Parts: sequence; structure tokens; C-alpha cells
Amino acid sequence: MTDKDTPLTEAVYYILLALRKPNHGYGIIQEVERLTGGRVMLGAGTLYGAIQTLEKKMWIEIYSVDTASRKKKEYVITDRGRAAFEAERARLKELLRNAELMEELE
Amino acid sequence: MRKFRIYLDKDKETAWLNEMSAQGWAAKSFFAGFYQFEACEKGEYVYQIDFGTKLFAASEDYREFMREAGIELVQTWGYWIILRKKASEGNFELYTDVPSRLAHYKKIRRMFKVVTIFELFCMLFELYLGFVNGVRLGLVSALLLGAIFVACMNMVIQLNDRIGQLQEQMDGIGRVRKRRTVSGLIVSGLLLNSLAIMIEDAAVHPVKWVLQIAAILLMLCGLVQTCRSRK
Repeated sequence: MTDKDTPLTEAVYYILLALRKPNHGYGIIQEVERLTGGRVMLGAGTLYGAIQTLEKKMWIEIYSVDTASRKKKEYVITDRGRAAFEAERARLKELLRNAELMEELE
Repeated sequence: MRKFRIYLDKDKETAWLNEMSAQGWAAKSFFAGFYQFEACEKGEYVYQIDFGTKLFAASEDYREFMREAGIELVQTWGYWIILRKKASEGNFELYTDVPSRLAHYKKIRRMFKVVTIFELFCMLFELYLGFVNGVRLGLVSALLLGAIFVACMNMVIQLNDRIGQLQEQMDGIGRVRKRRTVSGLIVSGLLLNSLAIMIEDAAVHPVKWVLQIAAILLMLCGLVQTCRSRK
């Protein structure tokens, strides 16, 4: 993984999280909205672009397509995607740990 | 109802389509500047315009994705994709974060840059035809192409502004802007102009003219940009 992969954008972070189990486009939007209490509402263009990029990077993959019954295309996170997510989590933990330094002077 | 409009700025076009929808007119198709409207309930639809990756087409994947989100594809034109969603089905925004907005406008700017350069070459070619071969029509075309060139160049300049603002948002802190007092376009125009004067004796007549006109156009664009940045 290159340095360019972290920090993840908020959208990518939540998309990866929403894809810990198989989910489809609109489902991701709803899940992210639920997780953030309505704070992050992914636009269709933002989500579509992110899915294309993540699929190309092999961080997510197609889980199922059922064209016959017009069932929605589902995606799921890959091992590589999980590794990227964990790297981001470690970075965020460090940020929070260091944030406590702010209270030191009191 | 049919209306003719030419928009280069997709944000202005979007605003207009939404204004029409608010008045009870829903755009249902577009062809070469002609928008076809049909009556709808006031404010029934929210319109958005996307910039795709294919000319005059959207992939089945894209269509399916949008359909699932309750978004209807109205028309593809060039790289542009006109989309709409029923206002009753909730908020409709395409790009909701700074990084994706930035990427979107950069794609659009890239297209305008290519078109601008293309128009410039076409114009110079027509000028050449007009002056060297004496094709009168060439001069008329050159004038028209020159106007398109200036319009596209103006669009690139406006997009530069928008992208600059987004970049600042992304960095989190407003950068101290290097305030260039005079646009680089004026400088390059002046340079080209002096080149035209320098080769006055050596060059054949038309080449000088072509250079001179390109120089004047550059200086004009530069002047507009300079005035705008000082506002």
C-alpha cells in the first residue's frame, strides 16, 4: 500500500465500513446515513465514483449480480480493503491518543 | 414547449432547469441547444447534470445505479448527462464531499482545455485559408471559432477559480493567495505580439497576421481575467 492511500476520505471510510457485509448502492447510502445520524449523506455521483475507484483498487468486489430478476448489484469488502481500513483505524487511534496532549498544560 | 439555450456552465444550466421545474416545466430531452419541456407539477423534479466518461452514452452499470437511487436519466449529450429525481423522493445532490466535487470539476476543466486548444487551431487554420488562399468564408468561420475559443477559455478561467476554492476547502485552511496582479495571458500575448513584429519583414504576410490575431485574443482574455481577479 502506498502512502497516498491514507488518510481515507470520509466517504471512502464509511463506504468500506458499510461493505463489511454485502450491500448494494442505495443500501450503502442508507447505511452511512444511519451510522452517522444523518450527518453524511452520500450523493449518487460521489458514491458511484468511489465504487469505481475502490473496485479498480480491488478494495471491494462484486458479491452478486442477478440480472434475470433485476436484483441489485451487491458489493463486499476484500482482504485488501480490510487492510486499508485497518491502516486508517491505526492512524485515527494515534490521532486521538495524541489529542490528549492538549490537556497536559492544565 | 421548446426553448433554445446554449450553456457552457453546467451550474448555470442546472439552476435554469430547476427554475423551469419550479415553474411547472420539466425538461424531458435535449438536442443541440434545444430543450423540450413538458408540463409538470410545480417543483416536481430536481435536476442535476453529471459529467460522464463516454461520449453520448452512459454505461448500463451507471444507468442501473442511478435507477436504483430513484434517479432518472433524461439525456446524454457529449460527456454531459442530464439527470432528475422526484423532489418528493428526497434530497438530490450528486457530489456531496469536497474531494469528489474537486475531481468532477477537474474532469470538466480538462475537457474545456482540450476544446479551447482545438478551437484555437481550427481558427488559425481558417485564418490561413482566408488570407493565403483568399477564401472569404474562412474569415467568417475564423471569427466564429474565435468567439467559441474565447468563450471556452473564459470557462477554463472560471473553473480554475472554482477548483481553487475547493482546493482551499480541502486543505482546511485558506491559503495565502499569491495575488498576481497581471494575468499570465497578457504577458504571453505581448510576447507573441513582439514576435509578430520581429518577423514582420522576414515572414510571409499571412503568418504575421495569424500571429497578430492570436496575440490580440490572448491579450483580450488576459485583460478580462485581470479585471475579474481584481474585483
